[in-house]
Amino acid sequence: MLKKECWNLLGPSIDYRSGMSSNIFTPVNQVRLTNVSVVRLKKGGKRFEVACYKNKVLEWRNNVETDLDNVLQTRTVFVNVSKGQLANKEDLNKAFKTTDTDKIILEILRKGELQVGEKERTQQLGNLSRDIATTVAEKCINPDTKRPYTVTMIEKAMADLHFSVNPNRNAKQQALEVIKQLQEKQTIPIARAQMRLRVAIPGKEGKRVKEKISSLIESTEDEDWGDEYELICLINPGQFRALTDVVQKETKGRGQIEVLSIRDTDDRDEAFA
Amino acid sequence: MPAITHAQLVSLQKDQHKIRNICILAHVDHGKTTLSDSLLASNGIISSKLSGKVRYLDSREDEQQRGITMKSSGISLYFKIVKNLIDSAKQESSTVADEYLVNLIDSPGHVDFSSEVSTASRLCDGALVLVDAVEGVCTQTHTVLRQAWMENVRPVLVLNKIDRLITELKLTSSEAYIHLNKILEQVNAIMGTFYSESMMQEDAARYEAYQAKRSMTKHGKEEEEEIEWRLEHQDDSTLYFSPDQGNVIFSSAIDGWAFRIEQFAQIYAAKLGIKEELLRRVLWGDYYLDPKTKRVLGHKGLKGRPLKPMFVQFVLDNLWALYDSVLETNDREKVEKIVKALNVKVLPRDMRSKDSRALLQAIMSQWLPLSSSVLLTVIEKIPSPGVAQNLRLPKILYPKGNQPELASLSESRRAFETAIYNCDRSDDVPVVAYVSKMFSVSADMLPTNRRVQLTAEEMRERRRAAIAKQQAAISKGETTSDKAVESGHIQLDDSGSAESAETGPVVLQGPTDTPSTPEVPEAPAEETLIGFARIYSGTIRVGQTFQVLGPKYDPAFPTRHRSAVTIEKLYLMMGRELQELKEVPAGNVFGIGGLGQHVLKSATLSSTAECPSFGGVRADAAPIVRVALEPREPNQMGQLIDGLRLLNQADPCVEVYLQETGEHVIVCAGELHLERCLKDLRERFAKIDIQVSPPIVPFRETVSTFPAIPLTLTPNGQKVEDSTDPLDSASRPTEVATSLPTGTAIVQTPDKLCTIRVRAVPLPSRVTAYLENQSKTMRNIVEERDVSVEQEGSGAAFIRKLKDVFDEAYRENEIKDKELWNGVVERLWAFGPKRIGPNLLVNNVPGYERSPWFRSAASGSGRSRTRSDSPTEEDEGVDAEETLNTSIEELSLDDGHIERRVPNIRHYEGSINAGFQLATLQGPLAAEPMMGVAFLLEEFTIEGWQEASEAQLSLLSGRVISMLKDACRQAFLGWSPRLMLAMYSCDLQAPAEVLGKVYAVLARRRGRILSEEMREGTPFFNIKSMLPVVESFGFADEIRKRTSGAASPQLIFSGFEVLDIDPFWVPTTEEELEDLGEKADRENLAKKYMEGVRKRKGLLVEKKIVEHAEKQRTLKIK
Repeated sequence: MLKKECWNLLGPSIDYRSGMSSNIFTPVNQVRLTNVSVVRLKKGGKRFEVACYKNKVLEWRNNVETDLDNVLQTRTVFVNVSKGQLANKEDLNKAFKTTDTDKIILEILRKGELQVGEKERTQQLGNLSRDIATTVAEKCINPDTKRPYTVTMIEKAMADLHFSVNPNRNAKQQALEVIKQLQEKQTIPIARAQMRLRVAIPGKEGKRVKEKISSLIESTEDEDWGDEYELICLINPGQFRALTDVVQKETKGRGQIEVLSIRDTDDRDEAFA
Repeated sequence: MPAITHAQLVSLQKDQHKIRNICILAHVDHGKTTLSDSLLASNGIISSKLSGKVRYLDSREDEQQRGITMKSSGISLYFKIVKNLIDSAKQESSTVADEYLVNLIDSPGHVDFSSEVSTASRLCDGALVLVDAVEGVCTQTHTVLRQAWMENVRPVLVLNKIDRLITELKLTSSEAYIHLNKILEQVNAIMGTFYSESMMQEDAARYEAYQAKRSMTKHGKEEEEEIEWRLEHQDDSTLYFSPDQGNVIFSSAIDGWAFRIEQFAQIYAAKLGIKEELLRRVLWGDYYLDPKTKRVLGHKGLKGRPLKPMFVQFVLDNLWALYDSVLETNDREKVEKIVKALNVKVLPRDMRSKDSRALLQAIMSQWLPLSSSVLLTVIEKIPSPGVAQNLRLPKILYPKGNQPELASLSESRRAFETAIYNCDRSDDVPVVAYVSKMFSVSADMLPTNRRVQLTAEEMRERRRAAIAKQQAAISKGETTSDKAVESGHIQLDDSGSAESAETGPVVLQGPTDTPSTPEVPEAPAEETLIGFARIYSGTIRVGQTFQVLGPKYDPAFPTRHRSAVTIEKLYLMMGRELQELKEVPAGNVFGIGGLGQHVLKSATLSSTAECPSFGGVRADAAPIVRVALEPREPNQMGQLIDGLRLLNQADPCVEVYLQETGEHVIVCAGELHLERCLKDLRERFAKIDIQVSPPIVPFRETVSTFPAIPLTLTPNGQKVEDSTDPLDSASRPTEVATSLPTGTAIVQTPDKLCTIRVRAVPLPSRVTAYLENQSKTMRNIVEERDVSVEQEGSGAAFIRKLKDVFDEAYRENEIKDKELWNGVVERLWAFGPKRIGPNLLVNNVPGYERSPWFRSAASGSGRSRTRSDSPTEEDEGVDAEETLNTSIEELSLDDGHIERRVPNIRHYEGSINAGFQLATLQGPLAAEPMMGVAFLLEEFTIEGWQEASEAQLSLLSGRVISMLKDACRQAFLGWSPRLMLAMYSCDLQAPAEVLGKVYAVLARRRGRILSEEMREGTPFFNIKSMLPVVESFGFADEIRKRTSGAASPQLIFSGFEVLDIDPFWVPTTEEELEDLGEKADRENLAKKYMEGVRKRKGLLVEKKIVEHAEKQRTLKIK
């Protein structure tokens, strides 16, 4: 049942060295938890642990790994993995209301706290920073060319900023942070891609509403005072919510806002001439 | 020979009969630059000892390192014929000397630089086509011959590297003769194919014209006999190379010798007592000299006697003997005897030299000097500009061959054409010059370097002074009036003109200089662009002003593609050096400075706007190697862009694009060309470190007509949910009831306020294709600000056509479920992504109606909408409201929430559309745009809103966006999803022998052959195929390597094609499991592409970090 790597987790420590030449390799008697990662769960005042392989638990949780044997070192529940102390039946029964080890293991795997492996961490951080860069690239444009930056450019600029990725915050929040810093540091000319909106407001209230929303608008492309006040404008995406609120409130729901484009970019290929 | 002075060349430029413009063309490594070296040595530009070693015209560092030429460069040579050799016997006047100016252009031979060959041959009247005597005819030989043929350039064949036949192949003289004869035949065969091809084309054209005529007249009278195949009638003998015609030179550029048989004919005429004329005819070919009768025999006259052909006996044997005695046996005495017999002077130092090769060169270059025989041939065989222009220009002016009679033209036009046909250099004719390429020279190469920099410096200084003054003026203005700041601009101008005369020049120079300053900052101060040009008529002078006509210029529209430029500098091209000129008369090749702002790659310069453009240079090989460039340091973007702009101008073949994705992509002719471009960018144009990567390949996402495999749905459903959007978690997918049709998704907010049901349906391919084609029309309709009646009409027309396409699809049995598509067009809500894409949002909400798409979609059409339809629409809206929400409204009144408005679908129109646009912009597979999917919005209900708080309701419009996005994505995944690959259509031309290899390369890269055709009159096949863009990186290089350069592909983007593999497919049935195993041995291609994109974007990739958990390193790294 036990796999080779963890034989010394449980076995009694036997000193093979006594009486032998020290040149000969002998299994050492100290416990080396090199390929073991422990998932812990505190329940019913007790701490339960399972011994897993490194870099595997997150995959299990993500449904990428489906073979339990590829995750667990052994299908046993411990009280302390490093000491090799097994959990006893009564404690398990008391905490989990069952004695089915497999069920208990699954629960511990699902809910327990775990050590994130090195590779998992690098992958996670790498993915997250790519995600941040992609988000930044999606949200921003190069004001000179009116086109987005490539993700690799943003990544370089992030490296330039010495931006450190925080694994506990989501990509979007951090992306906004990056944009702010990029704009401050001016490493590359960057601007938020603007949203193009059409705002239609019934005639009488047009003027009043216009004054209210003019502070939220970045630039006006076209406006028309007909039976209905109509405005085509660019705004910062961050102001969208505020703008809709103002328009709805002021016109009591009769004003209309239509998103013409989420990102106002030049979407053509241009040959140099 | 003493060095030729500048003045001598300038004086020669004036006489067009004494000018020859030639270029040297050949396969790579056949000795072009070495040959030109020898010619340069004759002018004293380089030492004759060094000729063939320095490769003077390879002025770039990388050219010298690699030993190949990468650009064409021009040089003007002086040549003097002293006619005493020929005429001394009769006239005794030994010093009848003719001086000639030969403008020589050396061109690169590598296939990547064939564009340079095109630009060079455009400017020339004749070409020296070199063929390596050992390697024979190679692929590029073929190409350059074709180029010469197309540009109507008179070719002269040079069989180079004869010495290798002796020293390397160790052929006997007879064998060498047979070998040379074979090469000659090959070259002539190629010329023959060009000839027959063009004749057949002409015949075809004539036949078509005839057919047209016949169908016009419709007379029963058949005139078949009038069609005569011209091929059989025309004499093509002048076309071919033949030593007795004098257009074949035998040479060894490295040893510095060359000869034509005329030379030997002259020598032997006296010795053998045979007339020179006759001897010239029989010295090449199957002719033998009877040793007894001293008569020339044909092959029949041999009667079995083992005689050598005369060429071998009198020409090759001598060479062989000399090489043998100097190089092989090193027989001093014999050498001395030969030297004496040849009557050449060899320095004793050379005689004693251990380096026998040097001795050989010393002897040979005096006996048969390369420069004189080559230049003599050039002067004899290649027409002078006047003659050549008469032949070549009609073809350039009328590429389609429809040259009108001179008499039929207008007065000025006739004058213009006669001037350029006759190469008239007088001042009263229009000046016409053609710039075939721009090349950049570092400023320190320019003769006027110092002065130029000074003026630039001065100008900057002046500008600075002017700006300072203006600013002072502004600040003064500030103190006086408040308005001055706002009107600072006006103030600026005022002060500029009001200030002293010192600022005056700055203002005056404005038009020429100021536009350049913003886009070309520091770098061009060190790199100057010079136009490589030829003047066809008139005389061009410094200070004159000309019209610059772009390649697309048409005299019928004189305002477009035209600008005026004042000639700042004229240069005589001397390889890497330039010498300044005051004027250049017609017929010369020269350099023009100061065109940087006006000419992109090529242009026509003329004193009259009536001059047609001479067109762009026809590039035989379109550039196909694509890469994306980025600066290593992100803040150097500006330098990169400036550098790219310069590169684009300076390289005739490169193409530079700024793509939708924000990438800067350059397209080169080949890997070598790419390398050169990058080197230029790094070291000269941009001067920054550049990172090169394969360009981003676009994909599309679509659905097949099969429902998704149920097994994979659950994990995917989880996977697909993007956690990036916090709103995502707010909407909760509900289980799709089994009774609903495939591709239906219901999404509800967690507070159960709003429920949306969306159904995805694959569009018939016909409709998708139509929408894809019509994106421009849609854009026009959508973006048109002022929708007039006609435009609405166009919108209606578009919709009508769309309906027709649906009907057609139904007729062709593409649509099975007619019910589904009934009235779809009428209920059309939007297209997506970007409001013009090939996906539909259809309003199927019962009881809710919208106005037709083209009315509501146009962004600015609200005006017309409100004007024309608002009453009806209002009514509809009210109706809908009533039917949907009457009861709720009453309730709300009872509740006392009088202020609260009734939420209904109309208020969320914008959000729904936005959600749809988002979903179609980034599909669930790899966040790439969707294509060919229709989303039917079937339900949109808001329940229990009266209990909801104000905050909840105000959040709802945002939530609807993300809900709809999720609903669309889920519905999309209800079908079995497919990736669509961007495809290139790939046109290949390849000779039959490499067809197999071409197919192998195409197959490996998942190409698909569409057709294969033989091209009439040539040994080539035309192969049409489709190639996925993802697989095309490095394709050009591979195919050239595999086919030794014989096949040259051309790639054109041609849309998207479905890759019919489900990216989520895993073996499930027993057979599949048995065949492929649990992990599916073969990689799922669609999955591979999908994960590639996901990885690039930082999305979650379903891949194990560690495949075998127990095999990880168990020991610590110490």
